[in-house]
Order: sequence, then C-alpha cells, then structure tokens
Amino acid sequence: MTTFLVNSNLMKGHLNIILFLGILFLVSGCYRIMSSDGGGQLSYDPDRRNIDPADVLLPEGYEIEVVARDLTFPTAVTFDEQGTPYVIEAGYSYGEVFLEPKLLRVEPDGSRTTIFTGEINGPWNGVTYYNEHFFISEGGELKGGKILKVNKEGEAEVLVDGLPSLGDHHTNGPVIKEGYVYFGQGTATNSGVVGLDNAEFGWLYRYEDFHDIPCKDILVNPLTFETENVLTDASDDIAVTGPFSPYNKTVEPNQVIEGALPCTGAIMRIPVDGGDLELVAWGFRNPYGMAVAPDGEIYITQNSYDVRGSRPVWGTGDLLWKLEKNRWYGWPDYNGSHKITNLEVPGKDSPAPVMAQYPEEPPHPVATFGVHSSSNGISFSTNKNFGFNGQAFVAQFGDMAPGVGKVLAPVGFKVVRVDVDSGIVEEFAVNKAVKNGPATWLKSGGLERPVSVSFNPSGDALYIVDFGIMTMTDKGPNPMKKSGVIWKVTKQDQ
Amino acid sequence: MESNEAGSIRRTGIIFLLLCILFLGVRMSSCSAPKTAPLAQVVEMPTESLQQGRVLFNEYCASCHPGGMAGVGLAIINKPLPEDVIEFQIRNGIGVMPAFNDKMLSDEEVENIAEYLVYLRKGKKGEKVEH
Repeated sequence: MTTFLVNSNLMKGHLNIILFLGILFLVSGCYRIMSSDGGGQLSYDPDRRNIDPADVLLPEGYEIEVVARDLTFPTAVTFDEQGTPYVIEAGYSYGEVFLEPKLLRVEPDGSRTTIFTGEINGPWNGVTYYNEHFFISEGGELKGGKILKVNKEGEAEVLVDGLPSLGDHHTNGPVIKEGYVYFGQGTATNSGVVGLDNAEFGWLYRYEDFHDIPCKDILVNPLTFETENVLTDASDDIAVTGPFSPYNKTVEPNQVIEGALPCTGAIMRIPVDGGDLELVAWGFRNPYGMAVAPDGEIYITQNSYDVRGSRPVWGTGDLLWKLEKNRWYGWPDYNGSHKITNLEVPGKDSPAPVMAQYPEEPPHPVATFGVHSSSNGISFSTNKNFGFNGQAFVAQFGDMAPGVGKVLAPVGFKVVRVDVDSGIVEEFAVNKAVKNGPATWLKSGGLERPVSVSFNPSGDALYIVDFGIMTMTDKGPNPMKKSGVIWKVTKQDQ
Repeated sequence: MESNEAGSIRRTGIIFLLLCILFLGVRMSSCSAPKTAPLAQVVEMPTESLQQGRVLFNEYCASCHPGGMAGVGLAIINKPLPEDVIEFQIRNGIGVMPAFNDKMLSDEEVENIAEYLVYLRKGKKGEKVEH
C-alpha cells in the first residue's frame, strides 16, 4: 500500500511536470499565431500628447521636469561652455516626413531661438559642441550624409559630404576625440540585400541602384533572393537580387565586392577642421549612439537586425560596443559574438551566410539590449553626486513593431543604465504602470520615445530627448509633429 | 459500454477545457510581469552564484525577455516555474526559443540563471554597494 502511494505520488509529480512542459510547449508553439503588441500599435488615434512628469518612475531621490515641449522630431541635445542647452530637430522621420532640420537654443522658459536651419536632407541624428562650434550629423536621406560644423552665429561649413545615407539608416554620432570628429554610418539595408522592405521605406523608388558598400574587399556567397519587381509595371515581373548589390542585380560565384570609403555600417573620422576621411572600424549594422567614456574610450550603441525584407533575421538584441580601431564587428552574418546563421526565423529557415570569408571573429559586445528596443543615444555619468559614476545611460526609442518584427509586449520606451564592466542593464527612467510601454500606449503623460540622453557639462543633470509620438499603422510609421519633449532628471540630495 | 465512452469523452472534454484555461492564463499573464521602482543604487546579489546568474541572464536571456518581462519572448518571472523546469527549458529550448547547449552554457551556469530567475520572481533586488 505504501509502495503504491509512493509510486502514485511520483507519477503525479511527473505528470505535473509533463503537463507543465506540455502547456509551455503549447504556448511556445503558438508563437506564430500570437499577434504583435508593440508600443506603437495603438487602438486609437492620439490627437495630442499629454505630458506629466509624475507619470515617470525614477529611482528614489531623483526628480524629473520638462525643459521644453512641442518640438518636432527632436533627436539630440548638447551644451555650450555656459551649460546652455541646444537641441536639434531632425527634419526627417521614418514615414517619409521631410522638413527643414534646425539647431535651436533652448531658453530658460523653454522657448527656442533658431541658430541654424539646414536644407531638407535630414535626419539630423546627433550634435555635439566643441571649441565654440556645433558638429552635426546630417542623415542625408535625399542627398547623402554630411558632417556639418556650425558656429553660434549660424555660419556652417561642410566637413564631409556624399556619405552613403540614402537607405534605411543614416549618418549618426558624432563625438569629438583627440582632434577628430568620429561618426557612425548605418547600413543601406537590414542584412545586406535590397528588397521590398526598402521599397516600403520609400528610398528604393528614389535611388534604384543604392545598396550596401563594404569598407574593405569581401568575398561573398552567390546568394539570390527573388521578389516581385516593384520597379516595373508588369505584375508578374520578378526581381532577383544578390547581397551587396543593387536591386535586381546578382553576384557571381567567387565574386569579390570591392571595398570603398566612405562605406556603410562603419565608424569613420575626419579632423575637426576638415581633411581626409578615415576608416576607424566596420561591420556594424546601424551604429547610432556614440559617447566618450570617462576613460577616453568611445562606446557605440547598435540597432540590430529586423525580421523584414528578403533576408529577415530574428531575435537579435541591440548592442553596446566599445570601439576598437580597425576591427570588424560582424555585420551582416553576426550579431555580437553570435552567428545569425544559427538563428531560425519562426516559420522560415535560418539566414544563409552572405560572406564566404570573415576578416576575423567579431569582438564581444559590452552589453545586449532588448530585441527591437532601438537603443540609441548614450551618455556617461561622471559626477558622483548624480550617482552611477562611470555607468552608461542609454535612451531606448522603443519598438517599431510590427514593421521590424513581432513583439509580444512593448520593448524599450525608457532610459536604462549599463554597468560597462559587467554588462548588466537596469532601468533608470520608465513609465509608471503595471506594463511597459510609451505614454500613448499606457494613456498616461510619461515618456514616449526617448531617442537620446546627455549629461550637462557639470554632470549633475541628465537631459532626455523624447522624439514624441510615432504610431505604427498599416501604412508604416506615423510620426506626430510638435510632440517632442526635453526632460531633465536631477538628484535631489546632491 | 456507452456509459464508459460517454465518460471518456467527458473526461477528454474537461482536460481540453482545462488546457484551454491554462493556455489563456499563461497567455494573459505573459505581458504583465510586476514593475518595481528602478534601483537607486548599484546592487550586488547576496551570493556569487546569483551574481553570476544575473550577468549570464543579461548576456543570454534579457534580449528576448528584457528584465524578465515579455518582449520578443514571453515574460519569464511571472510564472511559478521550478528551477528544474527552467533549466530544462534553457537546455532544450521550446517553440521558437533556441536551446543553449553545453558549449554555450555549462551546467553550473544554467543553474545560476535558473536560481537568479526564481530570485527575481520573488521580487528581491540585491544588496547595495558603494559606487
């Protein structure tokens, strides 16, 4: 009888575990039929933005306030010698909205004074102040990327132009180090192949021959990707496209794609007073945020792959890199130290390798962020009174699901901090709610889409640039003008 | 005979119903991990294994389950999974979640991650350290 009871209990225990695993399997197996629930996928059309600092959750002892509001697509803040903040409005947003980009001084009452207005060739993705000049990364969606140097009187010069920014990703950064302007250049495509996703962005119709350019010679596999040919009127016309090639062009077996400068997916630099362009490192996807750490090293955030286009890639978290000169960082076959060719795309095969030979094994990333979190602007805490001295603060713009791929809950929409020694990521500023998401998704007045962060020169305040509302519709991204905000976080007991 | 068949059909129906309820329960809870205030200081875990688990979680798991919450994957700190089941899932992968073999993670590392996840689920935060 006792034996029977013991056996019976053991059986029940095993059955419970089997049942639990069965349920897990059932749930996981249904992933493909689960709908996406991204932060931009709203069930209503927000007609205005609510702003309420009380809706933002911060560590105990910190406070947040609004510095400026009603900005249109703000992307970055910098400070002059006196600590006066300046903000840039990008002048372009996904969703094909083209405006004039602007450099604005933010007055104490939150109003703005225009310092310089650029030509319609955004997005301006970054600005930094150095030696009485503003250095601006001009995204260059229409005419190619540039690095601009602007003085306080609004006189501008172009340090470099013709950067390959006509595609998915643009010219980013910049930071100044040892007399050089370092900047990032994003890739033309998601994973090396021009396809229908690029037509949906809009640029393929403008620049039919645009494609990724490697920084050094690479040997590629003769992969072919078939799509409907969107550049012809015939409904049954097929386009066959190879990697690192224009749309509807293929590569031959053993073909070497010649490297060039400027190139896509790279960090490059140029002297602050102008001069020759130099390659620093390559093999990035979209190196967006850049910052110089207290130890003088440059750190970079990278937006990783999306589940879109002819070569979709699933499950790759955004990355934080430490910049090492002359290294190759793995795109388009790695994410961090992991080969994406081992990552099965739900319902599809794993991506085939594009490159037949690799220059080296990519470095190990400093930290990994949420998949589709769009981890963007970065700044380091250097003031012990503010706290977290030496840690990196990163703005997470938040997912653009379902365009970038499916998420089961909103990802990002907050500011996190990173211990760059251990790679541990912790939340710093996030909306108050049971669930995570942007303010419009939560129907609150908190953070919407933090796109960059910057400590002021004294390091006692963290400025968060909040791009504003961008919903995701059947037609793609739908950004709202005059919904951007600059927030300021301070510690009360310093 | 008919009575036995009817009973069997009834039992099958009840099991199916229970599975549906459990499925919906897990699905509904997948996105609602509890949110707590961000940490106001640098913390360390009370044991070396928990600290190791925290670092490994950030490297291998957090991209799909940021902070243990739902993202590309389901939330994993709002379900009463025992450590053994978590370890089984890490090793074998289920559904779209990839398996992490012993070349990627040692047995000890898998145990550390499972221990850390259970610790997180209990709402513990760690111990303050100077910074």
